[in-house]
Amino acid sequence: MSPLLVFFLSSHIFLGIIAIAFFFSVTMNLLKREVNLFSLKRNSFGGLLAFILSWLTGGYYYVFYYGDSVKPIIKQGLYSWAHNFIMELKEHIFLYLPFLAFIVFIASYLMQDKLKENENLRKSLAMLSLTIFILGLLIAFMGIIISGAVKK
Amino acid sequence: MTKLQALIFGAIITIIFLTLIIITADLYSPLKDFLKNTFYHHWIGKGILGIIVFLISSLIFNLIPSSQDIDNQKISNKLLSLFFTTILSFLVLTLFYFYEAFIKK
Repeated sequence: MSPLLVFFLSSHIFLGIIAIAFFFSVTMNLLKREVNLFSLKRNSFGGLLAFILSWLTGGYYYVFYYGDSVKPIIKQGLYSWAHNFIMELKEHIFLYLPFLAFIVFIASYLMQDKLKENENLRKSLAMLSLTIFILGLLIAFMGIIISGAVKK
Repeated sequence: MTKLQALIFGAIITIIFLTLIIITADLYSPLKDFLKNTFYHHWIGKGILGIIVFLISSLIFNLIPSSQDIDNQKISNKLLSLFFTTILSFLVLTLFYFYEAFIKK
């Protein structure tokens, strides 16, 4: 694997973890009695940006390396389900995340004070942010399984 | 419709569109080939089409005339609709790929 691909794969993992951490913070903030709007806007923007960059770097690795060099090894090995089920699911669920992250970010910016006043609104946005966090965590675990399947 | 409502509706349409195109492209190879030939890779094609669907559907919903006052309850309900759409789409994809990987002969 070329140094560029190593950089992209590492960046994909690192940025994905950063994005998950940001959305954990956003969720916890929205569940507080007193929402910190500055932190909410900053972290939702950070999470969105990290997901987009993780999307691009992971996409580059997936499109230009995984299909030709990694996928055949997994499919020929004992754990072909790691590609057929886990990777197929992972690569496609990942497509949802930037859109969901964008909605949490834009709602944080546009609703501002209304988020402070209205508990239902806060809870609905928290549910969406929690979904991003859980899906992100799931995708990270799927990545670990796929990496393990290549080594066997 | 307010900008935020239009964007949330756009996201709901996009999640549904992505789920449908992901499953259809897996079951109907000419669609997957079309995505590969047009966008270099089917995954890139799905991502780009998702962005296009999001932009167009948000724009269309934004053109629907209604009060521009932000109604907290309406926004809250639409956020919940997006949440449920995502969960349902995730479950559909999980079951689909589980069937494809473990059950289908």
